[in-house]
Amino acid sequence: MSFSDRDYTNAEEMDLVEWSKDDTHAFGELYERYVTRIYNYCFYRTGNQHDAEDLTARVFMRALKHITNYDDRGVPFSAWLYRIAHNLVANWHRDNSRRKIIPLDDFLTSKVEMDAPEDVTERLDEEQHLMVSVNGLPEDRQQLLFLKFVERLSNAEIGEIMDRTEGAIKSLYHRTLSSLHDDLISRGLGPLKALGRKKERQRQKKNS
Amino acid sequence: MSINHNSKDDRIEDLLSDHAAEILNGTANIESLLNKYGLSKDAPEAMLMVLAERVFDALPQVEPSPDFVKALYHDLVGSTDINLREWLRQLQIENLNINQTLDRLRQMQLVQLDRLPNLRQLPRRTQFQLAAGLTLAGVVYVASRVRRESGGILSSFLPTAIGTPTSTVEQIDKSATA
Repeated sequence: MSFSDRDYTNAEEMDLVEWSKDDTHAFGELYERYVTRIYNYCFYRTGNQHDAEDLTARVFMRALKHITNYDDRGVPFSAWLYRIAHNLVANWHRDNSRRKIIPLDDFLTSKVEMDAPEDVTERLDEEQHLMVSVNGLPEDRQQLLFLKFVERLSNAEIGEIMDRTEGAIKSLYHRTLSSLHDDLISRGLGPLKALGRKKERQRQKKNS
Repeated sequence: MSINHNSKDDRIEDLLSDHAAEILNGTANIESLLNKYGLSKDAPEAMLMVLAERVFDALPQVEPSPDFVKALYHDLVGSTDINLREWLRQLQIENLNINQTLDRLRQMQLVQLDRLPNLRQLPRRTQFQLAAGLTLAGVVYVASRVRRESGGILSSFLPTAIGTPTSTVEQIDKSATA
């Protein structure tokens, strides 16, 4: 098939990957399909827009450079892309030695714009505590929470990205929630208490 | 919580997985799920489920800035497509599918410029070598044009100035005939 016969918008992902080896337009289509997901991954792993943009750019530059080496051996393109992102984020943490110091202001403030002013401080406080606990988790557990709740992937899909079985992902999810819970309790912050306040606020909003 | 795996752990893992799926579908109901698994609403797993909902609330999807997305596309693919996109957008044609239109343009082979290699991605040294090479080629080209043109000018003067045996004979013949 010549370049001119290619329907990039409706093409299957595997076709785009093959075409991308000598056709930048095909890679452009893959980029458009994945840029938001990779950006989200980098954003939640670094905690700020600037580094997220820098890492996202590096992920796609590296993918473009190495796409000729990509060979589908049961690993989907998305998993390959996430593995590149994972390696670059890991390097970023190592180079900057700031894994534990993650500014959370960017997304915490952007999320509360729609809330009533009296709720903002309390909610920021709750979520900041929760995010500090999440960022204190080992890398694989943070990655799992991100892929499950931000990317909304199934256990099987997460397993492909993290190179583990579906059962192992279920088990890791259980252990992740348990350790997160233990961490919050040890800091005097119970999740039930937080949810109780949230539901109470929702009830008040409904009544008013 | 126990790390050793047994059937109870399996059940809890299944419960938490089902709950996570419900969160993503927007249908999470902790009490009914606990009931389905034969657990009371005070079971310790209930707290983990509440915590999962809190984590989900705290991790919304974020959007990269459109300027960043556009600039990176430009760096990866080239400028033609992004400029065409912008141009098509500015036309504000009703029901225009920009992606499909771009595909058609590509099929008509109107969009080929961005297949040129992205020079900005080359190493700085290679960029200098390329620039030097192009300059040298330019100088050689200009020099050859000047030489050809000046050669042409001289040759147009040559017959008049020096004459040629043929032209002289022809002139003699002409004068003899006359």
